[in-house]
Amino acid sequence: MTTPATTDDRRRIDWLLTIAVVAVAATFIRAIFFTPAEARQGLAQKIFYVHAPSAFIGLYVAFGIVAIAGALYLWLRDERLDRVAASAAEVGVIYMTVVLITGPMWGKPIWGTWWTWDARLTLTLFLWFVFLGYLILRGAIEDHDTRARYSAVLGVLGALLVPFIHLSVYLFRTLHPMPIVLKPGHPSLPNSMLATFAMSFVSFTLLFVALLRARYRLAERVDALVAEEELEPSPMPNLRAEPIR
Amino acid sequence: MMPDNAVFYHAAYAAALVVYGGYVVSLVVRSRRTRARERRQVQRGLAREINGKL
Repeated sequence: MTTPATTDDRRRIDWLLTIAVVAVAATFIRAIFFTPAEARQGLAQKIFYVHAPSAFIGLYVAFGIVAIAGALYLWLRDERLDRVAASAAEVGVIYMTVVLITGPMWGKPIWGTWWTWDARLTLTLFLWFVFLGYLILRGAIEDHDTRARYSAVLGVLGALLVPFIHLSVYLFRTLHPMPIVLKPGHPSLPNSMLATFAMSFVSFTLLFVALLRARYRLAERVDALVAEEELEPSPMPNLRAEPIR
Repeated sequence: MMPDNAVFYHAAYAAALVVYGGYVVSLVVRSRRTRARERRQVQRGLAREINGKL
């Protein structure tokens, strides 16, 4: 049973999340006020400092964790791995939502269109729907083992899209540009922009770790509650046992 | 000449702030709801103990 001491512990401020929020705020300030605008694209290029780190972390880190934790769950059947996968999927969907919102906002002034059905964009939207389905699936199944098993399979299969999304700019003719930082050789960015990108990458990674940790802890508490509630006797016998005064 | 498209980046930063901020708020709200459930569970446990003694 939950003791008052542990409940008090949970009221403490999440310092990692606080530091991550401050780091992201500092990145926004640096990007807006202290980073030069790109000459041809104008100020819209600054969307890069939100869009690119969110895409990298959402796509490779979050959905990578979902796939690895899901595969390990199918092997080891450890419920902690299921919690890690579910938490990473939820945070990953949030990151990819930001990517899918900020991408068109960058595309409109540069490409002249909000959206185009090219390989990179279409596959990314499809991946987002797959992991949205993953979260809906988890909410729809009550039995813990069935839910964990089905969602692990979907998580592994969904993450198979990630290499296709990565290679889509090389394999197909797309409007989406090729990588300018994470590519073989030197990044095609001046140092001032590269420093802001590095700062945004670190701060969004920190935010991801903090959100994942907070979501995992929440899942742990909810699972403990559900397990205890299942052990509790029905309230009806209690009512009958209550003394008559 | 540099194009004037600041409105797009302002909107993108605001949207990112709303999505990430909204998710942090949702975690806080869910955590509070869970804490309330934990408290109710403790109370139910205590009530059962008292009923058992009576």
